[in-house]
Amino acid sequence: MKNYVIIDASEVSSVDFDQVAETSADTLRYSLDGAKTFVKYEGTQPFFLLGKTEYTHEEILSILSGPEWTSDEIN
Amino acid sequence: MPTTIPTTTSSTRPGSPSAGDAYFETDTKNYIIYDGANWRGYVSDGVAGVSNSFSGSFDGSNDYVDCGSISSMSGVSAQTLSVWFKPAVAGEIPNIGWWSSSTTSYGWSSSGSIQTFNAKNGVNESFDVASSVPNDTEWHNYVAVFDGGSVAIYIDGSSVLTGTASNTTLATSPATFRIGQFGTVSLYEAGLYDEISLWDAALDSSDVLALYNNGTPIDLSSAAGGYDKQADLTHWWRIGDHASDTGSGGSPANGDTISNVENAANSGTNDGTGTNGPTFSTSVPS
Repeated sequence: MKNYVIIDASEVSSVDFDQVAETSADTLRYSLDGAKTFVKYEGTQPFFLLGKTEYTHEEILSILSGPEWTSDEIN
Repeated sequence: MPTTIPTTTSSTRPGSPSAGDAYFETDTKNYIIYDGANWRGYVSDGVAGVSNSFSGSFDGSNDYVDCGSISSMSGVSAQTLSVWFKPAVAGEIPNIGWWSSSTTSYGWSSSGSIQTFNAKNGVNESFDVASSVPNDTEWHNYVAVFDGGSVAIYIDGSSVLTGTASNTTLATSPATFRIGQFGTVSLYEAGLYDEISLWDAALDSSDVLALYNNGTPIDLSSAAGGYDKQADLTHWWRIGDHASDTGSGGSPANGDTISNVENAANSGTNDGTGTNGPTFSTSVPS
């Protein structure tokens, strides 16, 4: 079961990609304004994410379907 | 000593049959027996499916398989895309294809209640299939045929939409093709994806019905049932079932992260790279 954590774009440089499922900084998904992104992991929360809010899969999909992350005009 | 059953077709059945007469219909692949008043049909279970142990599981947040730009579909007048998809949420369709702009794209896209097939080449038009999407979380086969501007959409072998596009060819210079994401835009769809394939030809209804094969994918590299477009197959991502497919543990295993899924129709061309953590699953259409 994966956990998801939203971080500021400015924090990407602190992400250890060996501890998250994302491949690299270049493949992250950002909010439409580019201010936020997120990472996911299984098991214990990586040290560099300590203190940040964890979301479940269902919770993050709900967040990502909102206007901050998905545009209705993309199609 | 085997018994050879006489053959007929659904349109040339004998006009004056006797009770007990039995035939194999070569067009429907069904067995029919006359009961003295009516023909009784015994529906074919389909042909034997292709060996299939794995699919790809995508979480719908940001993971995808990147297959690069598919040059073989650049500017062509005929193209067919087939994908087996088991949605995580009932009533959803896959997100798969490439996208350059709102007027230039190809593939299936799902965004809220907007569920479309796109074959855009300069005009922002798409084909809405939302009313035809099965409202469940089972495996389904989605096939889209583009043929000189004519578009035909099939779900599970049945025609659900026909239409005409403004363009008679697909766009040139296609962008990167992704499985699990509609190109490079923020449209992802959670679920299981399997046996994704492309032909540089327009499959007909007999081909498509054979692809569905009562829910069991067939070997696309050889003719089977009513399918005979094996020579036109350009791409076939088997997602864990091609010899060179790999995951985080080496050979594919349930739950392992997808590393590489080869194009089984043309290895080395548009092999796919797992990105942001899609995993192999042993749930497959059958």
